[in-house]
Amino acid sequence: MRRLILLCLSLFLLIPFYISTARAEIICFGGDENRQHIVNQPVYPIVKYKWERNTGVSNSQPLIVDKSRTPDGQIRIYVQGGRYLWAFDPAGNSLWPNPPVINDKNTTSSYTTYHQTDGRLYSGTTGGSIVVHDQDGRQVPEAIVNIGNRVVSAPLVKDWQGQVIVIAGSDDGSVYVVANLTGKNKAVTRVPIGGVLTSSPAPIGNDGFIIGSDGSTGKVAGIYFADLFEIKNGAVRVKPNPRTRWVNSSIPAGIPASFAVDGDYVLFSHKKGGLYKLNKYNGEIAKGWPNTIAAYSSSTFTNYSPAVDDRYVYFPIKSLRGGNGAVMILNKNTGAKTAQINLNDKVTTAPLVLKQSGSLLVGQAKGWIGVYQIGTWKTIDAVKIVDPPDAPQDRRIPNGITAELSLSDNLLLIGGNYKDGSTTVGGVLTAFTVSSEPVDLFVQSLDPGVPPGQKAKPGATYTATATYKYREKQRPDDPASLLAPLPVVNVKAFRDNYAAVLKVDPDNPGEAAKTTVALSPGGAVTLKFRWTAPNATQTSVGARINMDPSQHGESNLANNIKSVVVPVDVPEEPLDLAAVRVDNINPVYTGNRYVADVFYRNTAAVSVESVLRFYVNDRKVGEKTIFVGANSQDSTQFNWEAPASTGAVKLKATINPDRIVKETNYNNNTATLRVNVQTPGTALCNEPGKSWTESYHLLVSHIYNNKGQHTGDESATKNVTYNESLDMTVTPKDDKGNAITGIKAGYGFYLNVVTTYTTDYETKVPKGLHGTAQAKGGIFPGAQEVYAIFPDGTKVFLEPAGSTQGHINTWQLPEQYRSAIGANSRKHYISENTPDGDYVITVVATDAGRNGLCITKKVILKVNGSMYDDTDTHLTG
Amino acid sequence: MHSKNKILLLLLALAIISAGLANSARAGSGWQGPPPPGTVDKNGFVWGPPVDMDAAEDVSNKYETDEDAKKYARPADAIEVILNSVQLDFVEAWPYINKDGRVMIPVRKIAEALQATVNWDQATKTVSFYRPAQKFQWGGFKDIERSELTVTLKIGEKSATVNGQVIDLDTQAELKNGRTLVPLRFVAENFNATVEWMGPVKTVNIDFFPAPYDN
Repeated sequence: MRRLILLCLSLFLLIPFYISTARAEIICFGGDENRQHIVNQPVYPIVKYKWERNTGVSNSQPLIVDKSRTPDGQIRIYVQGGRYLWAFDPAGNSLWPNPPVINDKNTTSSYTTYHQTDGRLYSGTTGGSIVVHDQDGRQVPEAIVNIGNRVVSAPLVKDWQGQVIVIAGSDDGSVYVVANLTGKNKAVTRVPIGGVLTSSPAPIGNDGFIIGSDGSTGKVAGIYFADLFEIKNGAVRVKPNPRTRWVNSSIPAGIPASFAVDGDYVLFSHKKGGLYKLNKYNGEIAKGWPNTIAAYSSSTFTNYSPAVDDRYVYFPIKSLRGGNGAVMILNKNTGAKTAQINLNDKVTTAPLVLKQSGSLLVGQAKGWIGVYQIGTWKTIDAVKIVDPPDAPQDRRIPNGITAELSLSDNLLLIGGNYKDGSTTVGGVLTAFTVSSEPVDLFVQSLDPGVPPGQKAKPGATYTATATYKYREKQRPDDPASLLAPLPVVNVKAFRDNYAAVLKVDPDNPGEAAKTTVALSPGGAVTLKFRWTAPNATQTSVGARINMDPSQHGESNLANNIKSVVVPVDVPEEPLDLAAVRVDNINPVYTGNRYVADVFYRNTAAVSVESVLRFYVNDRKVGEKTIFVGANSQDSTQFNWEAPASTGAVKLKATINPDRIVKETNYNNNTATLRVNVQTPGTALCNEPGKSWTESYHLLVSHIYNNKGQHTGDESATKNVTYNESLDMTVTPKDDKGNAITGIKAGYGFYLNVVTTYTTDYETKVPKGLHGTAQAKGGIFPGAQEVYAIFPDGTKVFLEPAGSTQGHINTWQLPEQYRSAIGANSRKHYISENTPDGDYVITVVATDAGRNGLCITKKVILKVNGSMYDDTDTHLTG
Repeated sequence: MHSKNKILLLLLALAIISAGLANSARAGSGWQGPPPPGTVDKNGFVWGPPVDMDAAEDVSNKYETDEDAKKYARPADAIEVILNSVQLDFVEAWPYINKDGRVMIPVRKIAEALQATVNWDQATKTVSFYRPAQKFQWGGFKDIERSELTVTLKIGEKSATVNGQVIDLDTQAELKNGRTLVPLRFVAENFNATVEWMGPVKTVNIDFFPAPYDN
């Protein structure tokens, strides 16, 4: 019951998000200038063909401009097609009777960009110009600049220092940067990076841009507007010596696709499948990158841009090793491969992430769009194909989706071209409606066949009835017909002999009935099934529909199962549950986290579900619902944290604490364990000096007889005492390397530790005849291990750093050590809540010299105030 | 071959050649390369010198350092902010949800987004946003008129002033890691922006009509 309430509550909380109407325009190639190919709106991959318009051959991504930004207050669609710049309303009506001619050829090669600051449309033309149009279709006079034979990338339009800057790549190997295309003072320069500039520029915030070139090798350059232009007397002009800030020429193959900008990085691939992440400010390759897993073979080819969300980056590989396409999904932080989706055809678009529904759309050859579930990476088969059913036969299968997928405001727009033989002769813009609600399949009702209030008879067979339903659309503004019938829906019924909760998994042997039906929105199906009551006090029967999250794109699977507990008329057997014991390592250290094992037992002949509760010093820290089979023992684990103070702590586990299950004996329901809590420094050693004795054999004299003949030698053994000692200095330092004795709460410090080992070993070797005694040889090491213990019990091993001179070693916190997210390497931050007083750092150096010397030192930092007390604050955000 | 046929063949060849020439002429726009620096073209563009590629720092095969990674590492609790469909860029200080459940944003970034100037008074720890009166036609069709506006917030105080009038807030401007952060919704909405919180994707959507640049 409690679960049901929680479920209802969570659904109630989720509903407002589903009906949110977040605005998200498609304003340029890739969605927005960061080209992440992400849809944040609540849309689900359930699509219905809406209309198509013949635009002429088009390689341009359709734009969808929000109604708040259009002259007529309606959503507008802009797209280059044939020689024209088209404008449509959401119903597909052409808004400009005479679409402006922006190309002198039949095909487009660039993408139009909508700029929010001035509400205008910037287009690159195959004639080699950048032209600007207002939303009424009029070209802005004199806002035209010639930059080559053909503009080959989507213009990036930025605002900088009160100037509108337009950046676009040309087929002459240069990227052109134009200031004030539509203003009074116009200036233009170019970046001669070489190669082909099909990769669209990516912004570095509002300060500059990144470009990539497609040649025999790839090159990426970062350029800042301040390095190109200067403003004098209100007029902008190109600097006398404009320069590029950085260039990375180490990309082994050309870059034909555009960058996705993700925070401070750009993600891209080269055409042979190498996957890259570069810091957009300095061009350095991010740690863990590049990933070359897709670049096995020179026949791998990729020329489409990646999509990126908050976890993954999705690289489309047009043709993997000469075969079909694939999508490589990488952890965007580490660069490690997470998954690979192998496609049925070649890729023809960048992937599009529907963030709220957790699905991925990928355009493929012959006009198909594959839809995949993010996480399981399975195909959502019910909505796999997008093929306009009402389109004329000769245009049913476009020869590939030729641009990018544009999705906003429940509109999915796709540009596609069609061929006559091998010649591309035309293009269509096709619109689909996309659902703003997910499919919801659920079990509407379940009648076990035993009247309420009655018990089933052991061994008797009953007929249960389950009804399964496909929920109708809830929002009146969306036509119910939007949801297409689902061709394959699995509905199942189950019987379970366990005591209370129905356990269902794909291999459940209790499956009583199963069928496959087609359901339409609002449709329902009823399934009857027979089950036999067991010789147990109770049993449960259940029904489920579509429990596979990869099927049908359901976001709510919680209502896909319903079960009913049916009491059975058998004499109740005595039940006895017992908490057997609690195991944990002993002793433990203050503030550290541990995992305790709890063992429990059921001595009854029937399985029982109950609750196991875990306490530390009688404070509840965990609770689990457990399921104990008949006459069996099992165990589970609980996480707990040792208290900050030393002493004994009591761990306690109680089974059936609320006595929900009736037992014959409650006295064995609790098990306890006492463990000792120590500070990590309790057993710290401190033996910084030691002496020992070495015995040397030496020749004292030769013995001769009376004839002067050598008859023997006299030798002796001498014992020599040697000493060794270990010393250590511990110095907390600030960022500038200055020693500090105090600190504010919330700040951090570095540790500089110097260990010095000294010994007089072999300095007192006794001297006899013929070079005796011989030195024993060997060198004893300085401290082998140094660690620091902070007041919260954290123990961190230091690593050698800096200079080593003889037995003097310098140690620091390790390079990998970060005491908090985003903290400096090697720096230990103290909590901003640390009270004023002593902050004691204990440092231990061990295993030095012949006798394993060790030394412990404590240094104290005086905490006085917190970071929030600073007066040295400034507006640098 | 009859002379008539020869003439026909010649005419056909000429037609093919001329068609080819016409096609090749159409294939290019006659681009002769960029004009010399200093050229003012027919549309009024002043052509500057090309960018010097050799003056750049060569970062080939250079990998990010720990210091850079730290500087640019986006915290796990960072909130995304989208202004007019474009995600904003943050370095070292990111928007986040404070203990009052409000999205806080670095001062400079929100001021820049709203075309406001900003001033910091160290003595009173007060941040002030200012925008002069504006009247413009956005995108050539939408008339927008805005009055002069000054908004001030004092660090640690749950109130603000809007053109001198004191407004109670449910949260406060704050200093975090030496940065000044202000409540995003309060500031943005006062500057005529529309703010929408998209909870499932932890993103703030700001919709704002900027005034055109005067040049």
